[in-house]
Amino acid sequence: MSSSAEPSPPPAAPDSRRALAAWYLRDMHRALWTIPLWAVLAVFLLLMILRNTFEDPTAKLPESIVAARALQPAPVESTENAATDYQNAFATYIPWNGTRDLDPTVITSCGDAAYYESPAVQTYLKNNEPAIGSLLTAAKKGLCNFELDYALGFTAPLPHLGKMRNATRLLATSARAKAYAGDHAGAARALAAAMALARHAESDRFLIAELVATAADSIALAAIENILQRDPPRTVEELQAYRDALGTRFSPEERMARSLEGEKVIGLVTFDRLAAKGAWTAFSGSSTLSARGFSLPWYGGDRRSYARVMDEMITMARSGEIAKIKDENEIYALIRKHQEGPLFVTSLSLPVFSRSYFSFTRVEELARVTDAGLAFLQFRAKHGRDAQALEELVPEFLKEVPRGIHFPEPLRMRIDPKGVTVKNSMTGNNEVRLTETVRIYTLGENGRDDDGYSEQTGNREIFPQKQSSSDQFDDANIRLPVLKKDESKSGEGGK
Amino acid sequence: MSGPTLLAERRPGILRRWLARARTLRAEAKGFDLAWARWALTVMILGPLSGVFAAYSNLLWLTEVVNGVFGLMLCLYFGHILVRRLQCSILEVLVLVALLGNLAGLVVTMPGMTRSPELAVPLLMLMMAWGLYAAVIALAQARLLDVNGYASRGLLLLIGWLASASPVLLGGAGVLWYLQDAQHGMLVSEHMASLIVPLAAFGAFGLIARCVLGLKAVRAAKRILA
Repeated sequence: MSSSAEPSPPPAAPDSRRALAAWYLRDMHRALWTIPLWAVLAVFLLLMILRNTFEDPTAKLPESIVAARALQPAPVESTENAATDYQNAFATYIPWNGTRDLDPTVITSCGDAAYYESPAVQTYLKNNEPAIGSLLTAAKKGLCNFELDYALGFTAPLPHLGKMRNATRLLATSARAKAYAGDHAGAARALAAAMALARHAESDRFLIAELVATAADSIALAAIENILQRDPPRTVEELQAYRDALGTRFSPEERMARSLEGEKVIGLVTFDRLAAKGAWTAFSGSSTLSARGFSLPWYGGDRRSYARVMDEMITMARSGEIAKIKDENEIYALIRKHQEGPLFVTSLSLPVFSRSYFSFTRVEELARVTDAGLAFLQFRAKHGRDAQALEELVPEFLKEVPRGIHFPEPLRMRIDPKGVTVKNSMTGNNEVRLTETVRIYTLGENGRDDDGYSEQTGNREIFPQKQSSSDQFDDANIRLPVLKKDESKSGEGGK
Repeated sequence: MSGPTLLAERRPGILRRWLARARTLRAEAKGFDLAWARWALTVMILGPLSGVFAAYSNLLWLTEVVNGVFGLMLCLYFGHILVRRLQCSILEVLVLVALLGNLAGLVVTMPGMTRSPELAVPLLMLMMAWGLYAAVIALAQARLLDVNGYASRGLLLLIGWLASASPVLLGGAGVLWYLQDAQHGMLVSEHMASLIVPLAAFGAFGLIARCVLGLKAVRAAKRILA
């Protein structure tokens, strides 16, 4: 036996520590488990970042439904409701069944004399006399309520709007045919009905309804210009009937404010439905409960931002400052000012809303130049000569020279020796509409005097060469035939 | 030298060495954790991953159920290790309860969350599981590194949570930085953009701590088993 001086091995680690060490080194399973745990952490991080924007959509939905229904037009008796007559017109309308290149609803503003004499067009108009009659009846009624449920938000079906636009085309075709036949009073009545239809479309506070009203106004104004170019009325009274048909309209700012107020309320109820019921349920009716939760991270911030930006735009529209939002950069700056979280609906919809103002402005400027053009022809009819400046029409036919809206300067007038040449969209050929023309116009959005040319009329006018391909002619204009020499001394009543 | 002799003297292949090591570790760790749960949990991670594909089908509810059960089982697995094997102190339990309780409270008190139990319940279960997982790793490292003081272990616990979350913090900072540009839509507000730097800073610190502590703990474990 000997006492050994060898260093003894270190005492074995306690079993629990060895077991812990072995467990710690066996980490393959744990590595796999961290994948979903990191995903959950990422979701949690997102929720914490957005925490102060969260709202409960189920609590918001009842109040937004009440606000939406409060915006609906008041109920109207059936006998006084123009919507009843519109529905009759839609039901009795017989579509064009000829070739598309002769479809009156497409070529309303291009049709020449031979077109309105063709049997196909005459049959089309005769078949649609009941529909036209219903539209004329509707125009006499002041109130219109299609009984939409605004609580459905953006998902509310609006099938009547497309039909109303087609109805306007039918009225414009009827007016054009009547003017060709010499019945200017009938033509003016049809165009007055088209303008009334536009006012009725505005009774619903959807932006799309306001845009349909704008389209209806544009169709009627284009038909007036076409009549003045091809079959112009000759008497002051006939021209006055067309001026009366223009009626009164909301100002572009009022249109913008009305439609934004409607879109704000309707948009909020859509937000709340989407988030409370889940996107899939709101649109499809299927019940995927889980869809609700996924709406929560974006809902609150997007909803609040939407409401605040809309409030500011409504205030700007009512105070006449909405024109300051000229391009995308400004609308995005406004959205960023009120941004609280990730934006989806707000960033997609508001730039579209902001551009609507320029559509409203455009049609109002077209109405003003059209009225000035009619007044110009009234002067011609009475005095047997053309006015040399629009100031000559004051005060006999105009209270004052109308002004533009983008640039509130008096309307301009010039004689264009080049006339009007258009590319026929059906045949592809160039056709000379007028050899010499009087252009009454206002400066467009670009602020430049484009000599009364516009690339926005849809008539495919052929222009003189532009300085650069980025130039866009955008003067709102009306183009009238120059007084012919054999008409110059005939004065009122000659044709 | 003959061929068979050469073969006999060659080192065993990588796979054989890995299998041998795995068998050794399994033997050493026997009885430490709930072995039956390990494979079940690994299979169940298909539940959360399938959520990506089930989002647009009627089977999303099934994914959410699996997520909840997965979270619950993870809580049991790590809770068992924490309480039965690591024998954490009362202070550590209090820190754990404070953190997990606050996490749960932050989630549950968000408006609308209680009306979405199908989202809230799996989320809470998995958040608890993460909290317990990170706590177990941190306390295991403390034990392996012989850190015994209450304050030191408490600090390691907090650093452990940060280290565990560091990839998410760094990823979050990166995503916010990438999306803050207007050309990616308006997904990041000014308030969100102001969080990029703090997230990146905490994430970087946590990642460094994760790497340093992880390396030290692995070396310590190998020394213990040597």
